[in-house]
Amino acid sequence: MTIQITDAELLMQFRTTDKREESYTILIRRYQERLYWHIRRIVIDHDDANDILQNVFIKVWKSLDGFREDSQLFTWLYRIATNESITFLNSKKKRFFLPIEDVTKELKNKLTTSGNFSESKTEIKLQEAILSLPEKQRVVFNLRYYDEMPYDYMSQVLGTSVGALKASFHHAVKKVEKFLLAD
Amino acid sequence: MENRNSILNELKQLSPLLAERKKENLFSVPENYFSTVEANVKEKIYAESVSAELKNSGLKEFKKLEVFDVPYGYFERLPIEILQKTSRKKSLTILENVSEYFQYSFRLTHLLAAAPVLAVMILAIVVIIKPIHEVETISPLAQISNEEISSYLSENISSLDESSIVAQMNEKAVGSLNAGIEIQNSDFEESLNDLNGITLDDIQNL
Repeated sequence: MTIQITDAELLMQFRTTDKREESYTILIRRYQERLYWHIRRIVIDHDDANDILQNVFIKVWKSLDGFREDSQLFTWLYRIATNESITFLNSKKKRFFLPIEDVTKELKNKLTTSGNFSESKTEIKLQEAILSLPEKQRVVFNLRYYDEMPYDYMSQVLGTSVGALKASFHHAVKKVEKFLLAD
Repeated sequence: MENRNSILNELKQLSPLLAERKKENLFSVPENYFSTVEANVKEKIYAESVSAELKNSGLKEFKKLEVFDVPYGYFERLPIEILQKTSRKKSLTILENVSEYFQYSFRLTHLLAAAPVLAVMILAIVVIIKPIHEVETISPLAQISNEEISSYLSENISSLDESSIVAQMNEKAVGSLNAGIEIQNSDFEESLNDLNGITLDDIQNL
């Protein structure tokens, strides 16, 4: 039976030279899936999500020494992943001079045309509804609905107050519901 | 701190429709994807560290400058020059083919014309070289004076008979003697008379 070390212990190990790589491996294994799905829900495409996830872990490797533990390790990781994903979408807009509507349209197209998606029509409909939300509201909805993240942690991830997050989630839920009931 | 139940309760209050929905994952990943992430990330980190080491090494002092230079406008002219060369080469190849044909024909006619000349030259060489060779062998005899021959014959005439003379001198040798020494019949007759009164008729009747 393996004893699971806490994030704090993991950080301590990482800062010890001889166990640096070992603890980094544990960190990747522990968070890769959660971070991947979070990124994937933002950028939709698997290849993009894969690139972003790798970049996130590379950034973690480089800056974990400087992590001050003001927040939880996992909220710090989510913060990096969210920023990387939004930066990716913004760079896409800039690179191709696309308005936000077109990026959303492209993401919606990917839901049905690309591989690595289930064929559940109700789920596609829900994703389309989520994609119709403004970018930040979409992230808030995903974190709360899929990751079931407490507002306090969400506040650490997004740097927004708990009250603002509650309002944002409230609006997002109403919009999604309206979208689903529209047809 | 909120727990899972409180989060679900909030959703139930906001939207019973969403709260009752079974949360399916629309997305999927390639097979064994998550078992490859760790290796891929570490590979990238290693590649980056190598590149950073190179940057920090002395190599960073060397800017990638092109040490070679080309004439002004070289690359602008290059495609045109290549096109010109290829079209010139086409016309050249046609000319080359024609000239090759003529060269071949010329060589053949020359060879045919030269054949008899060569044959004559070879024959001439054979004819010239052969007498020279023979003259060389005979020339010592030519150097013997008439007096010496006369004295030799007078001293040894008794020991010489006709058969031994014939055996010692074949026709060819006699012919060659004639070629090398010009002796008139009168000279020969005179010489025979000087010896023992033998006439030329006596010799011819032998």
